[in-house]
Amino acid sequence: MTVLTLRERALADRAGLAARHPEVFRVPLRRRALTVGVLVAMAAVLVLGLWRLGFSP
Amino acid sequence: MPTSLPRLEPHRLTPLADAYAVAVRRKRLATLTLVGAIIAAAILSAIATEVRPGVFTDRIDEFFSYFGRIAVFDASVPNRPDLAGRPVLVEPSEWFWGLDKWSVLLADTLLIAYLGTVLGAVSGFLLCFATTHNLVRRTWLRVLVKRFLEFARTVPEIVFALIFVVAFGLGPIPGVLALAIHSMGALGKQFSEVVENIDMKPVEGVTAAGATWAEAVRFAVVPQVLSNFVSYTLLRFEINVRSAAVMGFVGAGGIGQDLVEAIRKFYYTDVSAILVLIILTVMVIDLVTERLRHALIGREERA
Repeated sequence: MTVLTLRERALADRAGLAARHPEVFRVPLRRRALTVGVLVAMAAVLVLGLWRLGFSP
Repeated sequence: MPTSLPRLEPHRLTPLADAYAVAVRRKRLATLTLVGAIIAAAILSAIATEVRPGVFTDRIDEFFSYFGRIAVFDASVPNRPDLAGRPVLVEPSEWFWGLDKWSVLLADTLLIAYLGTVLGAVSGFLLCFATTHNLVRRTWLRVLVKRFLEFARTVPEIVFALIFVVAFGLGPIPGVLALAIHSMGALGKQFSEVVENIDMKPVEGVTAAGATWAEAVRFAVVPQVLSNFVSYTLLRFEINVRSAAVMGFVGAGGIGQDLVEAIRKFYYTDVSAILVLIILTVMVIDLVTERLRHALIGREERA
């Protein structure tokens, strides 16, 4: 008899796991877009700041 | 139903009442001693640092007259002798004659605060986990990182800015680095306190499922603390905007450079115009970040 660890059992049943926890595995597109948008905007302002304030390699 | 309280016999009551009176006397004496010590320390500090109330009362008029001077035009307005002595509010275009230049400097100030906050928050985020009792067992590592963060937040940002001006020259870079280091120290401390108060059950769960230390932090710690981290970072951004406005005093860029120049050259109306711009900007930033923080805290409480 093969003994599976919790991790191996979870990985073997990814589809079931995703079905049981949709709030983790199927985040609404709007929320994902908002998160990505905020991160991109923050990175853009960071790059703008580095350029504008004269940071150079 | 009427009830009656049992009354102690005098021979039992008297020693208890005496003991209570002694305890109250001791407590009052301790309070009075503490208040006396605080007052004595304040008086000694005032003597040692030459704080003289007489000077304050004698010259308080000059303090108010300075504000009087920054609120009216002087005779130096080019081609407008009619404005001399009139309130600055009557001619906003003359009062804010340097608005274009000051707006650019103000934007630079905001960028300095933003860069300082982001760099400080990222560094504080990376270091905070190493200072927590519940996630790190190695005492030497905790002590080392904690002392480093203490050093970073204990030295005022203006001192760091002065040091960096010597190293990197005049401009915004010293200001950004100074704010980043100070923010790293302050946020690292706040972040680590948040992490020390998390629920450890998710950490134990993912660790039992085979997660590494980094995976446990990513999947069990960060989701619990992220909204608090963002809230503290926004608060730090508010503080950094105010700090960035005076970074220019030591040559570290931003609108502070023009402000200190106007103060030194006695351009009173320029001082008031720049102060108004700084105050308005800080107010807007405070309002926006406060709303964001409350939204985040509200979301956290609802979850």
